[in-house]
Amino acid sequence: MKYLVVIVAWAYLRLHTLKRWPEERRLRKQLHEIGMKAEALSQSHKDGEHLALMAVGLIFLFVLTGKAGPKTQREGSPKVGQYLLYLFLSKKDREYLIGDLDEEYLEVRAKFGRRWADIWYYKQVATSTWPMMRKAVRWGVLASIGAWIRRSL
Amino acid sequence: MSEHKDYLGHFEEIVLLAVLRLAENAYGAKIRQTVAEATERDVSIGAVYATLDRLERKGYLKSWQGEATPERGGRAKRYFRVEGAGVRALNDTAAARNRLTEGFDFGLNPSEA
Repeated sequence: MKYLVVIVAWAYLRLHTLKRWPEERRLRKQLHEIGMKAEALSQSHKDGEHLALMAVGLIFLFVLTGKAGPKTQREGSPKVGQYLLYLFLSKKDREYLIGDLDEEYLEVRAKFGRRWADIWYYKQVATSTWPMMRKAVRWGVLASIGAWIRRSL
Repeated sequence: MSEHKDYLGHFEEIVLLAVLRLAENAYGAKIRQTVAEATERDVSIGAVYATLDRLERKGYLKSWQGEATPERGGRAKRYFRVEGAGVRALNDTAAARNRLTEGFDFGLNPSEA
């Protein structure tokens, strides 16, 4: 996918330059004739900016797709998913639950690869937080009612 | 006056049976996998743990902390075992179902379908 984007970007720049070539040559000639070399320099500077922006975009693309270098190669389960569980679950619950998910994540990853394992992990996170939160809220409500009754007696 | 009978919900019964079937190896991930295979649908680990906790509060299960392994990121397992009350609840639920389906012939037995 990334390489396709690179090829398309290169082709776009190439075509863009070729299309503008006769016009640029005429312009440059005119500019040279009237001695406005500064304008010609400015034009090339704009092209340089264009290229620089494209390069920055490509670097972002590589970083976002996670293959920019060895540092982005993650061994364990997705950290964002783990963080979401840390946010919503109690300390006791998340210890076992994250352990179980990590164990299964490695199995899914060995079978289907990292990308599909990540999707599986996030689906588990999304479908697991609600039942656990509901359980916590139910006990919280019961505890509040109990405390209210105790205070009333 | 007859003695008090405990009946299990559908998912509770399945989870309790999965724990019974797994015996010494009954912990979260394995229970989830067993339930998913038996029901032929994806089950979330959160739903399994919520049910396991409920069953433990009712006294049908007992849990204890197991060993931590590297593939779990050094986190401990939580093992489960079915208690006597759990077995009685399973029997009561099965008996109630049998009483209700006894004598009927409308294709409830999957082997005859």
